[in-house]
Amino acid sequence: MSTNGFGNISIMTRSMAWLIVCFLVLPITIVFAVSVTDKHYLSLPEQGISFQYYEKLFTSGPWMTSILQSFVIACASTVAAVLLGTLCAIGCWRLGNRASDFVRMLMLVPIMVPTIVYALGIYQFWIDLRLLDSYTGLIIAHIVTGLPYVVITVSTALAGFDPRLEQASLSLGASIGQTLRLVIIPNIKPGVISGAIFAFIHSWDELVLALFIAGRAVFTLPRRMWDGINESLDPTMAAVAAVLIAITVSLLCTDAYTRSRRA
Amino acid sequence: MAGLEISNVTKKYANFRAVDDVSISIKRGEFLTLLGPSGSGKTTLLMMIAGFVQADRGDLTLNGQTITHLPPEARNLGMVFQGYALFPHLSVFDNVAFPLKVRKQSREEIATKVRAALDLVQLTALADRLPRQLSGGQQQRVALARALVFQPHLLLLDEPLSALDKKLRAELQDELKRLHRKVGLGFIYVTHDQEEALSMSDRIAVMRSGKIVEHGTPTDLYERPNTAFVADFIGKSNFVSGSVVEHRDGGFVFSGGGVRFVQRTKGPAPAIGAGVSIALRPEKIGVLRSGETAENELAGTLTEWNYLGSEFRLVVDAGPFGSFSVSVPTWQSDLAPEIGAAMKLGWSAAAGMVVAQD
Repeated sequence: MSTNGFGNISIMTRSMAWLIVCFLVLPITIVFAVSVTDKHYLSLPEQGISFQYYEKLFTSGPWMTSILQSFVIACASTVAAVLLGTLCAIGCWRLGNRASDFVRMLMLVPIMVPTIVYALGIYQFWIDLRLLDSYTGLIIAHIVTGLPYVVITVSTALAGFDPRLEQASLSLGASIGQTLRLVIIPNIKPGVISGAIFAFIHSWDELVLALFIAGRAVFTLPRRMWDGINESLDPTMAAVAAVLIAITVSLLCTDAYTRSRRA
Repeated sequence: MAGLEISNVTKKYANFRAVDDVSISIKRGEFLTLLGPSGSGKTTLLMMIAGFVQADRGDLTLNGQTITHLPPEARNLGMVFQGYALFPHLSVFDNVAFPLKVRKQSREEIATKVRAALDLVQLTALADRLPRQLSGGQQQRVALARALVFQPHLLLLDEPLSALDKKLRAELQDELKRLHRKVGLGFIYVTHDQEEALSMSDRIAVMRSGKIVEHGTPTDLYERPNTAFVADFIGKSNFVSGSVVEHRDGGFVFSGGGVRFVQRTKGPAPAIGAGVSIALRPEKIGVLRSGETAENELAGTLTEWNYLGSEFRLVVDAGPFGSFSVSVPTWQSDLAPEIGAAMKLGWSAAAGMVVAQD
C-alpha cells in the first residue's frame, strides 16, 4: 500500500510536473552549455567543448578582483546581518507583545519596498555620509537588505522553541547571556544557518544597490557581469554565471541538509 | 528563619487578580503542596517564587534574605517544569551538568556531582542518551536530577506528573517522597490532583481565585475542613444544611427540610437560629437495614450504583436534600442494590463536619 501520497498520481499529472521542472531548470542549463563554447561570442559550442573561458575567468585580474570583492562584501554583510537579525528576532520573541510584532513587520520593509526605490534612498543618504563607492557603504546596504531573511528564518525557528527551556536555563542559574549561548542559539541553529545562507546569496548576486552606490573602487561580480553584457558579448560571462549558479546551488543544498537534520 | 516566607503577595493581570494577597511559609525539609483547580493561581504563585513573575505587592523572604526582586538565575531554586523542559540538544549527562557548568565548577567536580545526582534517580546507565530517547518517567527523573544537582535552597515542582499514565504516576509519587526524605529540602509542589496532594504532602494549601482558602496537614483538611469548598475539593462530600434549633451537651440539633439532625462539635456550637452546613464523607454514611437505627436518618431512593471491587458506590436521591453519594465496603455488606429501591441512610452525630457556607 502506498502511504506517501505520491503512489497514485496519474501519468498526466506526472508529465505536467516534469514539464514545469524543465521550464524552470532548462534555461539555467543553457548557461552551462554556453560557458564551454569554442566560439568567440555568446553561443552554443559547435566543433567541440572548450574550457578557455573558465581559464580566462580565473586568470583575469578584473574578474578575480570582482569575485574577491563580492566575497568579502557578502561575508561581512552576512556576519553582521545574522548577528543583528538573530538578536532582533530573539528580542521580539522574548517580548512577545504588540510592539515586537510591529518591529518584526518593520524588519520586512527592505524586501517589500522595490530595491530600486531603496537604492535611490540609500544613494542620497550615502552622499552625505561619504559612503559612496566604499566597502563600508555597500556592506551596510547589504546588511540592511539582508536582515529580513535572517529575521524571518530565525523567527520561524523560535516559533517552534519551547519558552520553558529558557525558563529552565534561568532557574538553573544561567545568566541571560549564557542562556542565549548555551540553550537558545543551539536550538534555533538551523534557522540561523538558513538565514545566513539567504543573506549571503542576497549579497552575492545583488546588482541594483551595487549599480547605484558603487562604481570604481568597489566593483562587485554582478556589477562586472552587467557591464560585460552591456559592453561585449564575452562568453566569460557564461562561465561566471555557471560558477555563481554552482555556488548558490551548493549553499541551498547545505540549507536543505541542515533542515533535514533538525527533523 | 530557614525556609521561605511569602507575605501578602499580589499579582494582577488587567482586572484579574491571579494571586490575591497570599501569605504562607515553608520550613526547610517540608513538603508543601499548592492544590487548586485550574485558574486558581497556584502556578502563578509558583512562578513568582521562581522569579518568572514579578509580584505587584508583597514580599518573598528566603532564609532571611529578601528575594522579591531578584532575577530567577540569582535565586538558587531548583525547578521541575511541566513537560520537564529538558534541553533537547544535550545528553542526559550534559543536562544535569548544565547548572554546574554555568557556575563554572571544575570538570572533576562536575563529573562527581552529576554521577551522584544520576545515582540518586537511578539513571547512571543512561547518561549518554538524548532526552528524546527516554521514556516519560525517565525524563522526569533527569529533570529532578538536574534541579537538585546544584544544591538549591528549595525545589519547586509544577505538575511534574500530569503527563504520565496512572500507574507510572503512582510509582513516581513514591519515588518523589523517598527523594524528599533523602535530600531533606523544602519541596513546593503544584497540582490539581487532590489524591496526589493527600498522599505526598506534609502540608497542603488549597487555592481558589487567587487566594489560599485553607491550609493544613492532609488529615486536617480531609477530616476537619473549615469550608464547603475544601470539603468538596479534597475528597467528596455531601452537604446538609439547616438552622440550629437546640443546644445539647457537646453538640447541637439543627433542622432542615423538615428533618432534625444531631451534630457533635468540639468547639462552641453556633447560636440558636443560625444557619449551618454539614459536610458528610460518602464513607461515613451507612445504609440502614430494617430495624437498624442511627442518630441521623434520611430516606431516599437508589438512582445509581457502581461495584468497584472493594466498595459499592451508591447514588441516593434524598428528595429535598438532593443526591447523596454513599460508599459501602463490599465486605461488610450483604447489599443487593436495585435501582428504584427505597433506602434509609444513617450517620452518627460525630460523622458530619461543620463547614462555612460560601
